[in-house]
Amino acid sequence: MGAWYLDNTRIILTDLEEENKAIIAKLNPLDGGTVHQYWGWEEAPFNLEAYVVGNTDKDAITSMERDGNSHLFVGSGFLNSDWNTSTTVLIEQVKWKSLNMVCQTIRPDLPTDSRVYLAGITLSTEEYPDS
Amino acid sequence: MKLYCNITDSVAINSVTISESHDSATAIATFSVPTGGTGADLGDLVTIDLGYTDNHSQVYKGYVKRLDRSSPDGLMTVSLQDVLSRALDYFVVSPTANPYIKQDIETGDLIKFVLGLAGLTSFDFDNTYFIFATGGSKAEINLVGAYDYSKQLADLIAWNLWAENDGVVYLKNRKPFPMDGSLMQPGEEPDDDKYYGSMPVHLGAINPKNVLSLVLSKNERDLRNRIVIYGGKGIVKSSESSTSYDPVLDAQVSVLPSGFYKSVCLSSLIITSASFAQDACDYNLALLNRVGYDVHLSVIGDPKYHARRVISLDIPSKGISGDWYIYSCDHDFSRNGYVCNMVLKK
Repeated sequence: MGAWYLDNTRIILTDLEEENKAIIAKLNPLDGGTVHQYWGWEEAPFNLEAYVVGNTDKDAITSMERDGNSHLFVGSGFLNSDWNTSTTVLIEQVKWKSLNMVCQTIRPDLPTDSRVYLAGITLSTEEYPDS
Repeated sequence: MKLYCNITDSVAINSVTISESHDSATAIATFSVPTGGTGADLGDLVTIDLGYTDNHSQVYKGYVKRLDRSSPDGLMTVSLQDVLSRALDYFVVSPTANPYIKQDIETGDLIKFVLGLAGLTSFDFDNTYFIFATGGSKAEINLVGAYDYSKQLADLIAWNLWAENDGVVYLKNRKPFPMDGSLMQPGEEPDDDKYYGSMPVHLGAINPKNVLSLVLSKNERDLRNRIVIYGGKGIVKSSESSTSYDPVLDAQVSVLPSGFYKSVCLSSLIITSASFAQDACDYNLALLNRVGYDVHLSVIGDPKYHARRVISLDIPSKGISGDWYIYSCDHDFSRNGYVCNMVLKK
């Protein structure tokens, strides 16, 4: 896969999971059975796993999660063909795992003793309309 | 079944609730959209068309009365009332020191005059044959709410005043129970032959397989077996009965203790005919002196269900059969499904 970014922050993607979800109401009459009513579909959040190198990039992603603004998710090879090479997302959740690493060569542009994190990031493409 | 909803100048509908009742002044609707999802503003006329892609119709028409914008969910909630809200909001104040005066005027014409002051012009009224302010008496109209005044007149003769979802105001001999023409009153006709606008009153049968929940109750909460009317010129008339009508048994039964009367008093100085007052007593006694049978019913949503209609429902295992009057109907439409919650009366 090519280079991936959240705004200008580089991430090294290892896993990307998407989900399509319909909204279906289920009603149960007294006589038994189930009546299904299709309401529509929802943009389910999608989950990705990526390496993030260095505390600067880690803090940048953390602040994106807390500012409530939408951000640009840039990459290639999206499963969703509507997205092309980038899409606007909200960062719902980030889980950080600090890896036990003596020397990193994932990002040659950063010092080899930079901390390496495995981030589990949940993104949503839902945006509130402008008021 | 794919749900369908179209609301004037609105998109991304999150939920819709429509409430109609025989005894409420107006039908009320609320809908919610994400902030920015509607261009509707105060005073705008909005229609709501909902149901399913293969079965939908206009269920409501009303004016925007309130807009609520909430955080953090980012929703805009719009509240609506039907055209009769104009009569609710209008307080009659004569432009001169003198009140508006009407004499020898039929009930419907008097109500049309008062509602006309509030800007209402679309009516479907039957002739009540009740004439107010006769024999030199005057109906003086001033410093009173247009709806309150009109509703009092309708109540005196046991008729119903309401607005349909087509925006037309109706005054009909509409009792809160199925009617078969046996009351022998003016304006009465069997529900099977009746239409309000283009919509039949009798909607046919509810399929028991569509029933989600029900509660059947029998009560005497609203039963009144003595009616007294005080009119002008010293007129006092009354009607009373020691027994009450049971619509399931189709017979008079003893409900209240012997000699005990639950009374209602109606008073209006513009009732100036003794026979008018007596008829009004008799009609109100027929209206109120009944054993109450109520069914609280939830069914799979259908846009054809409205208050002031009649359906037939047969669930022998629950002791329910025959025609029932839809006293109130709430349409609940959201991602949890489309359900109609009704109160039926016998």
